[in-house]
Amino acid sequence: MISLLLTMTWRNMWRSKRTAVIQLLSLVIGLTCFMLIQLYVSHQHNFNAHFKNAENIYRINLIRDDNRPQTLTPLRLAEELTSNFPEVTEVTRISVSTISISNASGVFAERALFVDENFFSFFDYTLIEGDVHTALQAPDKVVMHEAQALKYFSRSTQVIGERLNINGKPYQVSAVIRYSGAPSTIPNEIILPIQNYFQQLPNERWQTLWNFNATITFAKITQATAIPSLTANISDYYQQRVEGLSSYKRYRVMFEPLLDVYLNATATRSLIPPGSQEMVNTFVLVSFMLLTLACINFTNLATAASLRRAREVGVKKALGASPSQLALHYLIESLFITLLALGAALALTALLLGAFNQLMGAQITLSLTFEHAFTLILTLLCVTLLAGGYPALFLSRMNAALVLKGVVDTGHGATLFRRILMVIQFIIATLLLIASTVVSQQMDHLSTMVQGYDRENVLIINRGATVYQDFKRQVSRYDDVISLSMSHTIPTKATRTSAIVRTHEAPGNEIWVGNNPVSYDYFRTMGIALLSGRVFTRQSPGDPYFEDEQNTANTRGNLIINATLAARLNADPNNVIGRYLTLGSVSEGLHRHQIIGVVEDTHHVDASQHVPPMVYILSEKPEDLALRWIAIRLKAGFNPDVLQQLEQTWLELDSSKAFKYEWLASLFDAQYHNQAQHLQLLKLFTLIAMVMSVTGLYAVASFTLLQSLKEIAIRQIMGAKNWQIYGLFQLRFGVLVLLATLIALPIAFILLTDWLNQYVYRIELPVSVFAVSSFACLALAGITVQMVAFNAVRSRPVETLKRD
Amino acid sequence: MIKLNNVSRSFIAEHIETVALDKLSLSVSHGEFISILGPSGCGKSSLLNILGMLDDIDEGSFVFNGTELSAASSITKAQLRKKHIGFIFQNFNLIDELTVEQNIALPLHYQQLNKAQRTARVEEVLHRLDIAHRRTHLPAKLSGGQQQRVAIARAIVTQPDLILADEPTGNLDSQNSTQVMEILRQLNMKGTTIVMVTHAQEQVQYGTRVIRLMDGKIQQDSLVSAQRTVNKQEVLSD
Repeated sequence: MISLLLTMTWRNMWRSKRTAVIQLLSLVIGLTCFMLIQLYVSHQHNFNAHFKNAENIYRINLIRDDNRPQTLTPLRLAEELTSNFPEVTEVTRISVSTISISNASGVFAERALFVDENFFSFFDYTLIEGDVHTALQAPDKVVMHEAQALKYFSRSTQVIGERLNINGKPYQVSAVIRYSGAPSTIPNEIILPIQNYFQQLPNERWQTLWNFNATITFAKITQATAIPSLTANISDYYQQRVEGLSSYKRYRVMFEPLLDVYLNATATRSLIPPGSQEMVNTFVLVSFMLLTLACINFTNLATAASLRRAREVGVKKALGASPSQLALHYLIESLFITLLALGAALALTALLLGAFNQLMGAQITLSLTFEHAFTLILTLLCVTLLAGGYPALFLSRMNAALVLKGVVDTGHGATLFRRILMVIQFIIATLLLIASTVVSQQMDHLSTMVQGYDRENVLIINRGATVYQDFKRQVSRYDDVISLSMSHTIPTKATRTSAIVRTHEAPGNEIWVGNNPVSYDYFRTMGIALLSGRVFTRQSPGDPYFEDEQNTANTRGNLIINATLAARLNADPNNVIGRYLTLGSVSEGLHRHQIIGVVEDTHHVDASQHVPPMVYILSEKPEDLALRWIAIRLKAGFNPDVLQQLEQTWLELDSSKAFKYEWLASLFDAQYHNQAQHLQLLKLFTLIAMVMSVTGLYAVASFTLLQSLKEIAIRQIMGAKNWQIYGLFQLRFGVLVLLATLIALPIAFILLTDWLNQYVYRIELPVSVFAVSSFACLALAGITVQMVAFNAVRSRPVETLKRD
Repeated sequence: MIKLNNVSRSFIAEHIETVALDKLSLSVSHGEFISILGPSGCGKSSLLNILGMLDDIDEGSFVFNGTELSAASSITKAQLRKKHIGFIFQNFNLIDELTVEQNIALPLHYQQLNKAQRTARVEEVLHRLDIAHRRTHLPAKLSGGQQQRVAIARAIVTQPDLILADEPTGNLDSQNSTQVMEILRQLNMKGTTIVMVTHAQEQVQYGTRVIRLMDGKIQQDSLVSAQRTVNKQEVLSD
């Protein structure tokens, strides 16, 4: 029987190719999108899942006052935890820094992870060679990934013992890690023993400071139930030790499960940019929407096609088939078609995965695990039931006596059902269209809104304090170099340090500010406009910030503030010049500083946060206040050769340090990289949804036309004009699309208002987008229906009636 | 075999009720070959559909082989139908997507016969109706006469007690019509009960009994062999 059913299904599809193609293609596209998104979602949920002990590993984040948690912790925290808290079975640390690797072909900058010796007992990797137990035992050992071995030695085996010059010191390769595409929040960087990180610190004492946060601490805790009490105890312990050392008042820790650190990321300064649970959820929703669209196309076409299948139902009933038997048979038919579609969708998914990976910046692989197989079977059954359930029921319930007479009662119920499904399709399509347009406009707004600095033609180099002064002196002579400066932080990077300022008039009024120590020429280099006063100059001896550690009250130096701080001081930028602000803490001593300038606000992190009040202080020498970023502003339309000249000059000053730069504009774009990726995907899915809805409408309208041919012919004979026939059709479907639009608009309004609220800097929800999207859907539906109606009008009424 | 008592059936379309059968009573005995005649819309097909359990009755009683069917479930009816009844239609109603032999075998699938049994039965009817050489053809490739022979083959392959034929020669030329009628006569002579709706007066001679319908009622019920006409009250009083 099954083979007979399959034969019938196949021949049926062959006979009504157009319907079959639309049904199949809809399912294939719907299933492909669904599978790609599910793979992506599964990939996003599986970060770190491949590490054997992942379930027992927690990242310890710090929370200071009401700020977002941060991943960086004091270097001494690990030791304190193992010594004082028996529930913590083991601890490991990861610090990150840029290193320079030199060999015969040049000097290369790499990001390196500086880790504890027990790193591999937390994060297990498969090694091509080497031993995890000894790989990090000596300070001069280096562990590299396959890609780095290939880069530096052109091979990934027999590399053990090879020497590498890192930051001017010799190291020996002790292990090579095999490449794995498994999603991980531990980036595939060069791994060095953490002692090397300590050596980079300005002072050995920093290792033991409670308020120097420079490492990510991971702890193994086997008893998850102990976490709440442990969190409270460690928080108290930490608070007692760090209180008074900085301007924060409340210090807590939190344990974040390793399996959650990617998607549920709330903490700043993670090793890799975190994912977005919200986006993942959105895409899950979109994937179900697309699958629903595909199922609706299938259902609508199948029930519409019942006109032709009715006789077959009658015959089968006459031959003894019961309704339930028939329903089962039609379900099997749907199963067969869904299986075909699923096969094609699988092939298409495999084909598109490369491009999808590129689009999403992921490394998803297609593997048939038990979980995947189970999901596939579940999808197959659900789609079969969703798409084929109603048609099966509808066909099997037909009255055999009537259909054998040629009377097919499509029934008001069936017609209404089809119309409801069509309305759902257009609700989804309209929703996606409005959403993708609004999201696109918001993203556009973020990238084009005034950022308070000029990101074009600015090169950024991480670190280089030791060579900065000489480098600046030399490259300032180049025609294409406008200016350069060094600073503690730069736009696109978080304001790392904070302080409390008070006014002389209201000392009790504490204002939290971001603090950015900068060198001369910072504002010019960054293109930050001066609103009033002046910038730091060499001619003003009072400008440099000098911290008197013996007598804090003697700390001096002038301040430049941003517009937000001026506003917080209730002052016009012009009136605030010359006023004094008090810095420091009551415990360590307060010191007063004069405001010499007000600059415009600059966005340091993405637009989900307000621009904080900021103070800028002058670090005369980069080492004074730990400046970390060199910025070089080049002339617009600079000669690209200048980059080579800059590198040459750099290497002449320090041949062991690679000249690695990034463009400020790229750093800015990188902030919105994930959103931009997601927007691309959303646009693509919107297009697919539109195409699917319109195709479905076309097919349903065609069937309606078939049923209405006689009516149209009679109307034509009675003298109906062509436009009246068009009007008839347009009205019939236009009302449905209009209804869909009317339902979609308030839903879109609520969802998008909620989405936009997460942005501090956002567009006003544009009414025009709602109007244009609704119009676009109506127009698209109108054109589709018009194409169908055109065929109706072309047919000769006499022929139609004769056929009937 | 069949006993209809005061059976009524009406259809409501666009708020207008059309009475197809009006308190109609009829008995069919084993081995009869009944021709039902009457003008269009007199209820011939409705009667056939009710006899074939494809349609429900609105009121009255319908007993088939001793089973009362007026309130029977669709499953019971489907069971009875596939066991006892074969259908032949005017427009053949072959399934376009299936070959000749697949069409013929279809009712055997519903009887859940195994493959060997199915093959044997299909072979037998293919040869009996002289269509074996067309077994792999799709219906669209056959002439009208051939299609009807396939339809008859499909109707008899289950060896039914009753064949319901709805104008079996309506779409055939005279030569093919004669062939089809001969086949039906032979089936009847072997014991199959046949109820046939027809427009053609000349086909009445193939049967044993003639029923004329008018406005959903039996107007005339007569035996062919005896050339005797009895009114329906006499038939009922038998």
